[in-house]
Amino acid sequence: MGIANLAALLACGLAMGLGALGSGWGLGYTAQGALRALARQPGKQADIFRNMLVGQAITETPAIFSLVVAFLLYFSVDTVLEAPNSLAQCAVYLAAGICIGVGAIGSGIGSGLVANEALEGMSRNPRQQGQVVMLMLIGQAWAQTGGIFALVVSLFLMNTGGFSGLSAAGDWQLLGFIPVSGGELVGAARFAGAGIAMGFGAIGSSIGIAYVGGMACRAVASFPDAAGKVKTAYFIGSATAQSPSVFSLIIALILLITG
Amino acid sequence: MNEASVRQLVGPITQAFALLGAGICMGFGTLGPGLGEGYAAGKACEAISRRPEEYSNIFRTMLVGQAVTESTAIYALVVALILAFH
Repeated sequence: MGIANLAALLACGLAMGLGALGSGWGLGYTAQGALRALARQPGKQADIFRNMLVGQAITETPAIFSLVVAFLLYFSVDTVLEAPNSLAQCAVYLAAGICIGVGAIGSGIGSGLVANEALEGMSRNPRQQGQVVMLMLIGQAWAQTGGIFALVVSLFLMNTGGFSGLSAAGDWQLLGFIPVSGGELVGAARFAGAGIAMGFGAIGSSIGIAYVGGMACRAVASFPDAAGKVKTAYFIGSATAQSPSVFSLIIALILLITG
Repeated sequence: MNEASVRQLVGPITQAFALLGAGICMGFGTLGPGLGEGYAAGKACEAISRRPEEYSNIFRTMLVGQAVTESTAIYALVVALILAFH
């Protein structure tokens, strides 16, 4: 049991703990929207209930991504015996856990925001239900992109395997027992930087895109005549709000690949 | 740890901190622009639904506002690229 194994266990906890945060909030917020919709339209109970479950199922996905990475981290504990004290291996595990944990927060909250507005809009104007549900599904799927980018970077990190070959030739002992060479220190910083860039970079864009999706649902439900123009503004506005998370993905991939 | 080995590690330590800095810069630098651009576009959707006849005006203002908001993300991108290739 080396320090890399301890890092994998810590990262497992961080991935699932942080990953559950956003989705939990989003699921509750979806249910809140359903309750408000029911109070407004008690006769539409079956439709509202069904759409609440659909919205919650999509809101759940970022937490499931986190769960997958948390399991991968947990089961990798016994398999890294090559370099149990490698600093770069520690950085890989911690970065993968933080990346998916923090990256899932935005997508979870965002999906909940869209579903809440859609359910309320549906109850305000039941005749527009089909269009509002379609916009809700598009908005929720779009809000997932940040979480999916974080999942991609996280799995990429898990597959790099660290710099296990370099750890034997340590120039320096960190904390007295972790052998560190210059190349390994740079590698560790590279992995940690990639995880932080994509994890935190996914939050803002996901919530931003979801806010646009929620407002579009509300606008289409309240004023169906302007639906075409609202959709154009929605798609272009969301695409622009997506660009910061794409910048983060580019930097994360540059940090990972140039190593 | 003698002086020669310290001198040998200065280069890698500098590079390591530059790379970590690039990650932190890009990660936190995109929080604000992402939220801000989404807020602008969301309010534009609301405004267009209320006054569809002002569509072109609202849409243009939304795009200009988002472009200005984007500039902070681009500052973060430029600094992160400079640090990544330090």
